[in-house]
Amino acid sequence: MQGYCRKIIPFSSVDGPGNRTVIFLQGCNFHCFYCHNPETQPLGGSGQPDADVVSRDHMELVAEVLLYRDFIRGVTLSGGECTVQLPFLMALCQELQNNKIEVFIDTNGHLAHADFRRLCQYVDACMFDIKAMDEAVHLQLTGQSNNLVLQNLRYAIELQKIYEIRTVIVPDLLPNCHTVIEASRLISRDPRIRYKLIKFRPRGVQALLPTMHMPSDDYMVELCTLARSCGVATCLTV
Amino acid sequence: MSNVLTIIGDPLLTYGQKLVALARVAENSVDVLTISQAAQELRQAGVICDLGEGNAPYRPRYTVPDYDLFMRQGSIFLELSPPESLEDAIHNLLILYKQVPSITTFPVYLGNIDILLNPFVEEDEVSYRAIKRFLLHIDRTLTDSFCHANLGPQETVAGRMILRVQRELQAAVPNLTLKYDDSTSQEMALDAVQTALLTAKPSFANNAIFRHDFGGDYAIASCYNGLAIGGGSYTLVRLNLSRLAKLAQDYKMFKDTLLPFAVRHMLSYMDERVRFLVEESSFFASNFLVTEGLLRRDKFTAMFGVVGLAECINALRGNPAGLGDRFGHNAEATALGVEVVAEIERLVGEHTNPYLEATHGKYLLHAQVGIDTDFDCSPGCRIPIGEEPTLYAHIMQSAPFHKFFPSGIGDVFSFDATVKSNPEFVLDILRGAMKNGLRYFSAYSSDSDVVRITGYLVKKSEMEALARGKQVRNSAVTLGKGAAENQGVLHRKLRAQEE
Repeated sequence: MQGYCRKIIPFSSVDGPGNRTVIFLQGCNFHCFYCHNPETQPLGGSGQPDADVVSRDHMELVAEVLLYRDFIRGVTLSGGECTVQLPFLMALCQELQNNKIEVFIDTNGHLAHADFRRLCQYVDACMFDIKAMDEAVHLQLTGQSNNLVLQNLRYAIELQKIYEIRTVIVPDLLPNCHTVIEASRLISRDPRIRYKLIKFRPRGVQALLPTMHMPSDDYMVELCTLARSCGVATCLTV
Repeated sequence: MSNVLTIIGDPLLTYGQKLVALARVAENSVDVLTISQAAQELRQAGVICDLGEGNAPYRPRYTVPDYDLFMRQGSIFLELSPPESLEDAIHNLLILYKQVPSITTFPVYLGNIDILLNPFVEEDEVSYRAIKRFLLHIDRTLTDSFCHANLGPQETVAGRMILRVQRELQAAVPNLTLKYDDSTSQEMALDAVQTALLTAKPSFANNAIFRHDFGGDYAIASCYNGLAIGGGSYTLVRLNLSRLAKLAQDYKMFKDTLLPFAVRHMLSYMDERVRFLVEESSFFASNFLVTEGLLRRDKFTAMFGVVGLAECINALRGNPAGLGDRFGHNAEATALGVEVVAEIERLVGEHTNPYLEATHGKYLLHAQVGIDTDFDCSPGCRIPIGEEPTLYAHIMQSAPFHKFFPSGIGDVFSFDATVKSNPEFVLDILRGAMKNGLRYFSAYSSDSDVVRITGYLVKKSEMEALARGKQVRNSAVTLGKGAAENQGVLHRKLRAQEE
């Protein structure tokens, strides 16, 4: 099956545990105002992907991954939002699983619950974004409600298939404390889940909001402490 | 004579360094080796080079005492009984180290120190502090980066303590290797990787490959040299393939004429060095390490070094400008490199020297890491600094060369400091490298003060101190500074989060 890929990174230290091959699929269903990689969003419809995006066969991608097999702990499928190309993603995950390669997906979780349940069969763990816990804020930030995100997230937590949850911290513009508290209550159900708080960095972001700035280290530490006091076992900041 | 006075008046040399330099002048004041005219000319052209070993070998270049035997029997000459406590064990070793000769005058092998000490170690802070003082003593008195201790492969309490000490001391000495295989615990391996990312050591030896090549136990000495325990290497002379290729009109001339000529004369020169050491110096007749069985002549071999394969292959292929055509990036260039090394192995393997009993009369191949004054050759079979490909491509390109070099070859990787938060990343790469035949793997982090120069460790802060006109304890700092200036060793490709 063919799918649109932006790039493959053979060795990555920042997309899950150990060394992982990361495959970036094209397309995203969120349009976050702080998006660092807006070029990964278009996939047909409103906008066309740029020349870096190529159509690849899922078997050919798995063959490339197998070259790196001795060196990697697994594969992380990322984006854009990898679930946007769901049939392709499923085929890829299934074939990786057939080859006994551990599969992580890096997702915003915004897909029909039934689809997510099917996808989870072929996935070892998810790295999940929580953009905001408040629905109105989420809608404003991403253009979508977070109902599906939270439904899918709760399901994955029950399945013990969450490796990491991430929240991007943007001072002043987002209710960060609220998000961290509410997210931590969910995360605390499984002590193995890491909660990663990501500093918003203005670099590379389309200047939609000139007032956006980077959070201070003190603020990040404070939020981390807050997460821990809400029952999160491992909270880190990057 | 003026050389003597220069040394005496040199404000940058410590007392010990002056003594060693003066001894070299004395040794070089005699001409006792019978060297063929051709070998002499090849030496003068820098095609073969004995790495400053001196005119009259009076001790083997590298010695690898059997420290296990020393722990069991003590020493008559040193009037030491076998140790009964950790304190005894540490003191006995420190006393012996000061009697172990090598080219540097310091011991190049300190033993598998975790296994030596572990029987006396308790899992408490008293043992920990004793081990810390032991390693501090080594760094402050054996002031040379080629002193090399081994660990593993199995995890021990002592081994974990030694790693913890290294993280705390941030010292260049000793060099350290973890013999790594499937029996090394995940915790020990991860601890070792984390330590390497903080203080550039240990490196990792592929235990399975080394054990296969040495038919059992072995030591890693000096930079990364595999040698038999209880033996060592009489000499190390190197063939500069980069220089040799410059004399060749084409590949045919290189392979059919120049290579056999240079190998033959280098072997005759090495034979002469071995002969003098064994037959005319009194070392093997009277040194107590030999008479007490800690060194055995029949455990010795000698190392045939090669350097500058990358520049050699590029020259033989017409020095292509495009990176994709150069050694390290081009499959045909790699294949030609393997062909050249295989031919050297064949030529060297045809020659026999009766004193190389440890290796059935054959010289062992060694990928020599260069010297401080080199400017036109990369270490051994390494890809030149500044032209390194991505990690995967780099390791897969390098691995086919490793099987040819039982007495040492290795690759060094500099990782971005952010990798410290995911040491499993480096461990996974290390495991993949070993699975694909890499013999020896070194890693360090870009922000570490202790850095791996080529095979040895030096502190950046000490190189800076030397540049400011200060004396430094470690005699290898001068070499590191030269290598940094001439070979850009501080500018290895930084392996980032994504490769």
